[in-house]
Amino acid sequence: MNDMLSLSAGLPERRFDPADTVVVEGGSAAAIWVLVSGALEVSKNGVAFNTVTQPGALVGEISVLLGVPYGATVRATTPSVLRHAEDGAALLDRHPAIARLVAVGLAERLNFVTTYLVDLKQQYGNAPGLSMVADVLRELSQRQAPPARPGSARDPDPDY
Amino acid sequence: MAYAGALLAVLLAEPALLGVLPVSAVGGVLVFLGCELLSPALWRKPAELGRLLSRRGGGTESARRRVGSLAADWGVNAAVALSALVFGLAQAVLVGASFSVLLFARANMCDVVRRVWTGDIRHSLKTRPTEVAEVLQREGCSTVLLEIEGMLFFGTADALRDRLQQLAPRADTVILDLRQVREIDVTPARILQEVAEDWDQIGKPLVFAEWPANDPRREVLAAVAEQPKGNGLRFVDHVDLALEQAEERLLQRLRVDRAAGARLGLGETTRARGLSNEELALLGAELTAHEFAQGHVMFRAGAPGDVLYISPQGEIALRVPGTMRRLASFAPGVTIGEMAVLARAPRSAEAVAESDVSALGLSTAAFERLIQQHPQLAAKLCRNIAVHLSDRVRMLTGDLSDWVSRSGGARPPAQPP
Repeated sequence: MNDMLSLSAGLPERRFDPADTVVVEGGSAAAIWVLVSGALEVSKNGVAFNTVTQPGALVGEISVLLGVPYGATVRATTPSVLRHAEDGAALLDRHPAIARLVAVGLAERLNFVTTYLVDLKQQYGNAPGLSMVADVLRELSQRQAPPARPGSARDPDPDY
Repeated sequence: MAYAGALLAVLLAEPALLGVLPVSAVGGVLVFLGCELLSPALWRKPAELGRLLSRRGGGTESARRRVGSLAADWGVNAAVALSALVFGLAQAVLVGASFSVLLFARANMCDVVRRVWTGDIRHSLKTRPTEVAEVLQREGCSTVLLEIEGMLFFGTADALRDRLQQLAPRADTVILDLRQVREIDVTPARILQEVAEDWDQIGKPLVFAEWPANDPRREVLAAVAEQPKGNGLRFVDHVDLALEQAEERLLQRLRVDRAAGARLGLGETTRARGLSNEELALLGAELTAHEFAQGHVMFRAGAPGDVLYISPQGEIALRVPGTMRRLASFAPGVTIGEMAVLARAPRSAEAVAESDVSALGLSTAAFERLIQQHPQLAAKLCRNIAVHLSDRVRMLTGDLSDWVSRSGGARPPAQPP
């Protein structure tokens, strides 16, 4: 991710005080942010589920890539500095090295979350509510490219 | 320990010294020892119950069962402790035994079928061509999957036999997901074996899933089946595999052609979206053709990777490393093994050809060449890969955070940025 800091050196910087909002869940996404220093809290539906402190970490790249609104709210929890590209899509199109780093980061996150879910399922396989994990893993397999039809269906009456 | 030993030695040598100890101190020690004898569950369970009841989403069937089980356990503990204090030890044993019989009888009356699925709703993870998936959607209700939960005793096994008899006229295959069965003894094992024989005689498979070899519960059932009459037990390690086998049988019976669909052009794959004809030609020149027969392991977890594969034809499964459990199945058009060329990382999962696969390989060297000589093309490729990964990451993290917020479960560790 330090590579991302050097690659994004030309982007404008902005400072955030604690509790300042970087992106809002549901807000239209065009910009990609790069954390230079500080700490960020990621929350969804008002529930915080992640913190980001690693310099070079990206915010908003998934929403820009998919062309969907931001999926979570990101706030600064300490005085923070972020760089931003107003047109995130153009940034990825112009800089293959940045696009490559973004893809690497996403692949690492996908591997991490998948491994975590598999561990969770294997470790707590009999615990109530963990059927959700199986559903999530099943859902993962449905995210396929056309033209084939997904191979499984989502639980129509999930416990959680 | 040294202090206690010294005190014990003094008291044994001169018991009369006990008389000089204050009665209140001796009484306090005895009360403390009495409390130590009580089950810690007596004061821990109310706290656990409080936690469960205060959770959002605690009204689900699983949560209600958990609360009921905890409350019953605590009630028995409290009744036995109270009986011991008020009436004496013999009466407490009697109370405990009575409650045990009552709870055992209640457990036998419970329905162990947690959930019922049919094959038109629940499919295997194997990806099928659209027309085959539509047949399974239409005809799959003849496959029934029962999720079994709890303890199998003679009462619950008998109820399960009745349930299976009711299913027999309309179901061609029944799969029992036995992963959440906590206990089974000889009598219910015999009942299940008899049911399996009945199903075998009418030519319909009854499949026992999620009890792999060496599972003690499977050994109980297998031991019963080894008697002279025993046969027809079908064990399959995973529900997913059992569902796939049921689907294959159904497709065979319906004489549905299961051959792979038409071969996609490179421009129709997810990796090549947005590329011009000229860029497609440049990319095509760097690709190498690979053919993998059905069942062939394309790469193993941990192996060094130097090529990513685009699959214009055939389905590919990713497996959990070290197991036969399928993690995902991909339709033609996707790319696997991206990390090999993006970051020269070793393979993180095992990829297996689920049907005959035609793949196009892009090596790390070829990818680096594209970055140097055609940066715009390389940027589009990276972006297409990132879009595909984003979709999967967004879905997984979104559902995981939903689960965490609804279930009050353990907070997932922070992800690497």
